[in-house]
Amino acid sequence: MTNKSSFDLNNLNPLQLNSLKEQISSEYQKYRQSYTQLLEIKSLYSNTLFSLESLQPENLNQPILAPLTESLYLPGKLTNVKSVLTDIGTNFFVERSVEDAQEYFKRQTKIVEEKAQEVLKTMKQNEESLKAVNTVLERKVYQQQRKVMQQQQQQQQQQKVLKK
Amino acid sequence: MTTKKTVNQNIFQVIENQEKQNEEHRGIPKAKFLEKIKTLIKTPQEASVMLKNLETIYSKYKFMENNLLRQQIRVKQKIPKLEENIEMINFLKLKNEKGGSLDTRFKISNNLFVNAEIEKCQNVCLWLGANVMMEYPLDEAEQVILKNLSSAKKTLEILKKDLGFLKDQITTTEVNRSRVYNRHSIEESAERIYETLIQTNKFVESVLTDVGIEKSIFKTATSFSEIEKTTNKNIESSIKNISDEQYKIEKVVDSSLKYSDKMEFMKYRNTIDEIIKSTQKEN
Repeated sequence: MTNKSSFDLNNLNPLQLNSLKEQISSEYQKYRQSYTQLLEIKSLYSNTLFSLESLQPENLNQPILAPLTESLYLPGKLTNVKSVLTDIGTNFFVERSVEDAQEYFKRQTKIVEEKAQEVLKTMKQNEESLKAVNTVLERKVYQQQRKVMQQQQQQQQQQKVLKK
Repeated sequence: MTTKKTVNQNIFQVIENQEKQNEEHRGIPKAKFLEKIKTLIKTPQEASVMLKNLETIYSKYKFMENNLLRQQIRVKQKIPKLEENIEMINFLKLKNEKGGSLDTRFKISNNLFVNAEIEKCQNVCLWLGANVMMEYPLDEAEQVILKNLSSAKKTLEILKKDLGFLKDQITTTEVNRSRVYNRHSIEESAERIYETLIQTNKFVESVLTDVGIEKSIFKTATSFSEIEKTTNKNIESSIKNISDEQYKIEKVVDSSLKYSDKMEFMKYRNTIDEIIKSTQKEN
């Protein structure tokens, strides 16, 4: 987050404003990236929840096609509909009951959603500061252009006077 | 006209050589190294045409290189997966000999694993890609995977060779391009000198006829207009000639010109000086 209040934007010249603008826009890109990543993670958790639903007690000893590697599948039977192995990150696995696993995944989705909302907030703040910098920059550039034009007009007038 | 023909011929020679070399490296044309650029290119227009052709050839090579690199990445990713499958099948064979059912865990989703029991494994399903899955008995499955593995390894080797050959062609085209560009700049500067000399000639002619000086004196001054616009050696000698003749002209002109005409003449002289300096730098 940029601390706009610590210095007045009007005191900066156009070059500095430009660099500030680039800084803010790069930060915005990063926030955007992290926001999309969090959304992806959230969708993954919802997928696991959906697949957990299929582990009902009726499905015990149902025939399934189990993958042993990425492209090798074997027919087998679903033996365990009570406990599952959950991956909690950093190569740690925990065996839980089906209900516990469901609760765990629901909790995780909540956490991820909250984080995503936070990132969204900072993104909006970033957008606002970017807009402010842009307006000040445009104003300054316009002022500079007007000065240059005035100077040119003065020079032309002087030349006319000299020729006479 | 003859020079244009020779340039076009040379370009087409490059393309012909490309077609000949097609059998060698799976469609990668061989780049001909242009050895005697001085004889090939005699005007800046020819040089710019040559440059354009070389640029297109270079971009084509780069495109081919990108494709081959991407192919290589894909094949490299395939190979460890195939080796994993072979290990699995060997394990299943051992298990079959021992007897009993196999108790496994398999991945149902990103962070979820589920238990399953597999009884005697006679048939195995292989995912062949393109939404196709086939069931094979164990031995046949092993054969299929081994076949795929060997073909993948072969393609990897072929790709490596092709990439090496392609890089050589790219460097030759780069060298060609830079040499043609150097030639082009020299030719351009020579042409500029020639054009400004023509301009000064015309100007001096008009001035001298106005003043009424005999044309015999003027003839010595125009001798440098016959300077050839070609190679390095000639440019050096032509620069000497230019400076000598300019001095002569200046003497003639100094004594007989009005002030305003003199100033215009100095302008032309300054442009020639600049061009001489720039060519000297390039040489």
